[in-house]
Amino acid sequence: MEASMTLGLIVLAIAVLCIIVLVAWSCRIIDRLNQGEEKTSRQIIKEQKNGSQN
Amino acid sequence: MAARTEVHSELSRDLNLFHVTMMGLGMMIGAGVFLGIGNCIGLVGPGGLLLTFALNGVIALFTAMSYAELSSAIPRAGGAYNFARIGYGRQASFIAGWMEWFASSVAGAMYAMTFSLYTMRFILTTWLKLDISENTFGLVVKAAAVGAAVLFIYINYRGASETGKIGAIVTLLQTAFMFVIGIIGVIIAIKDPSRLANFHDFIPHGWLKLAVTMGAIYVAFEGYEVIAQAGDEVSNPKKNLPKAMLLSVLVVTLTYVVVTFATIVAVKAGPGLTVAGKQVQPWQWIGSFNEEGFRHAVGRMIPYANLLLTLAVIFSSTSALNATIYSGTRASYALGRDAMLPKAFARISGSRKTPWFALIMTGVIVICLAGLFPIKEVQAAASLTFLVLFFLVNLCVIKIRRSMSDELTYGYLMPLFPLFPILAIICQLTLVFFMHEFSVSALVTAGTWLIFGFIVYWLYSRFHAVATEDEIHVLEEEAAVTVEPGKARVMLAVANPANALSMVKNTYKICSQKKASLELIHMVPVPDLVPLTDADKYLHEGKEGITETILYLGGHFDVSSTLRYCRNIARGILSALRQKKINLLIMGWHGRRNNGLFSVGSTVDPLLESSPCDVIIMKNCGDREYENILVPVAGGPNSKLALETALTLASKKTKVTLFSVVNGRSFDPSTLLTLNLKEFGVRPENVSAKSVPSHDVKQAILDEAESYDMMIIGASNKPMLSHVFHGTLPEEVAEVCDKPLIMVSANRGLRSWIRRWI
Repeated sequence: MEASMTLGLIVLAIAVLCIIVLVAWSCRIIDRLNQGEEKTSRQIIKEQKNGSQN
Repeated sequence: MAARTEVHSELSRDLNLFHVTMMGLGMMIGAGVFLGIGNCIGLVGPGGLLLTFALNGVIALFTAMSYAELSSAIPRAGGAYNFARIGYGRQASFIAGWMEWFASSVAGAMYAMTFSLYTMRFILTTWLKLDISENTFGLVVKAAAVGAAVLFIYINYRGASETGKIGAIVTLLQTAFMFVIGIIGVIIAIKDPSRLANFHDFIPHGWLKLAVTMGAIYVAFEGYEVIAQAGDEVSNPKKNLPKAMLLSVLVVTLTYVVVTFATIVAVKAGPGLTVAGKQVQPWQWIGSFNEEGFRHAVGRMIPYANLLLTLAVIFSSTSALNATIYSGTRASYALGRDAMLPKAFARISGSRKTPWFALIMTGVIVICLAGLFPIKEVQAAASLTFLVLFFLVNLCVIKIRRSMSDELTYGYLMPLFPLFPILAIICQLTLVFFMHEFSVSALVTAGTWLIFGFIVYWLYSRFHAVATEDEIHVLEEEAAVTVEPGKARVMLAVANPANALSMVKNTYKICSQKKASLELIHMVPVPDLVPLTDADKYLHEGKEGITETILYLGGHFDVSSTLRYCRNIARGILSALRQKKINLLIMGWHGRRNNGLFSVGSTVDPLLESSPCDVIIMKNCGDREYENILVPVAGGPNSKLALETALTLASKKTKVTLFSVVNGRSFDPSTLLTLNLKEFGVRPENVSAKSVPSHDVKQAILDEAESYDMMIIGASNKPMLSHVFHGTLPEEVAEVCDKPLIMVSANRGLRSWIRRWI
């Protein structure tokens, strides 16, 4: 297998995986943010920071 | 009695996650991939083409995340124009609107050309087998593209572009078709692994060529702009808008990758593959056909490929052409509305309620591009203008998150902010830079339009632009509907002020009986070319009459009143029924049935079929006491509701007769009577049952109705399409009967739905 093909296939796999992971991650964020009351971005980020510190 | 004199206005948010995802997919799956594969494979090679689609998917996802975050915070129509106005003010919003107008128009020209290329090739070469030169064929394609553009401009002017759920189903079939092509390719590769050798010379001309092809076919990933444009029509927008954008990019990227793989393995290498007498690799052979490479490759893989691909192109390109024309029109209309372009752009035609001048100007751009430029240049120009537009949106998401983090409420916040918008901006600038290698004229055309836009802004727009209400109230959101527990809710859909009063009085009797609250609703259909948010400001004509009626009724009855702006009346009412958790819908009917596909009418039929509650339809029901009410019954599920409605409207003196026609299939109406009298608490002397033998059921009912002053009949319970072939008795009786008439349809949940369809 030529070198460019190996590299190309790795890039292809990473790209597809990246898309799937980002969409799944984003959908989780959407579901979580839409469960409770409406929040501004500052409130959400503050809560996230508090959560990570705890 | 409390009198309410306020009319509440609201938008009909009747598109769900599926509809809006399909809307985005419909804009992407089609011309971009049909043209892009053949145009780019010769430049970047087989592996490079796979990477082109996959890496473009990654950049598109970064931008889609920006769109998703902004749309979840500002879920209104306007897309990039709206975001730029909120983020950077008037000048940036003008440039965004200006580029959006051009991008949509160029994309419209590309769809018109793809449509004509595939259909003309099929008609002239495959079907009629005409031997014409490529030059003549090129002229025919251009003429057909202009013809298609003119046709769709006219359709948009007529305001008949609404495709609704059918459009979503067509897109689903189209996506499935493309996916099937991909799966067939995978099966071929498994059966004949030697075809994987087609990927040798993975990227023959170097990795930098990827940037050229990625920029050239970026237009195949532009669907999330259309999703953002529909921001004010989507239910639960903070959740559904971002999800639809992200899911559509995921689906479209996976589809493109498998379709590209299939296209490359579809062609078997061998001595038969020659270009100009020289044996070539499969990817070189596909590339030699330029924009028709995809068709030729797939033709080697599946039977009837020409016919199937032509059908796929007809469906995909026509829906996308339609959507781009109204998207471009909306963009220029918004510029005219905010006085950044002459006011003529915001002028609405009196009869059709469409912004005719904005539509004509958009049409002129589409026709000029489709008629004058080669298809490859048009595709590149479309990609380039969308890249510039998306570059602006990625800047906006950073600015808005930083400057308005205390004001906007978000339904989605992208992770690792601001990494992805910055990466997207860098990639987009790179792709724009490399575009000159693919098409210099596309770069010149898009650049000229951008510079022309700056000149227009500096010489005209900045002196005329007005602050609109939207600029101030960026945070408006509709309040959630609160439902009083245990209390039934009745909705009366008012269409005609002339009979509204009598309908309200009849409805009031039903509400008193059910101890229900009453809501009056009037649906205002708005053409696709005008955003729903603007309908209140621009569509005054014809609205005053119904508003006055609603205000009058609100002063005399305890009702709440709503004007609801929608794209389609039936869909708008259905979404209102679900949103407001209504138990009973009452509406009027003019009494004339539509011929053809509908048994009652294009508005009433979908409501009878899909309503989540009971439905009562009134015809010629004046405001008076009825002495004799006829209730024809046949034992169906609607008979009980018909009897209940008759007993609700009856006074102490009213005689109610349950009537049945014996024609082989006997039904004894006294059974229904015995079973229900106790439940309804009615004196037996006021209700009787009668059966008459006859072979002509319709005539027997009409003859019997002569002696009564009102008829209440259950709607047909037959499967949806059976009336097309056999007709439906209740609807036929209802049309012919000249007495006041009420038709009822009981909701039986899932059972009703299954029975309607099967």
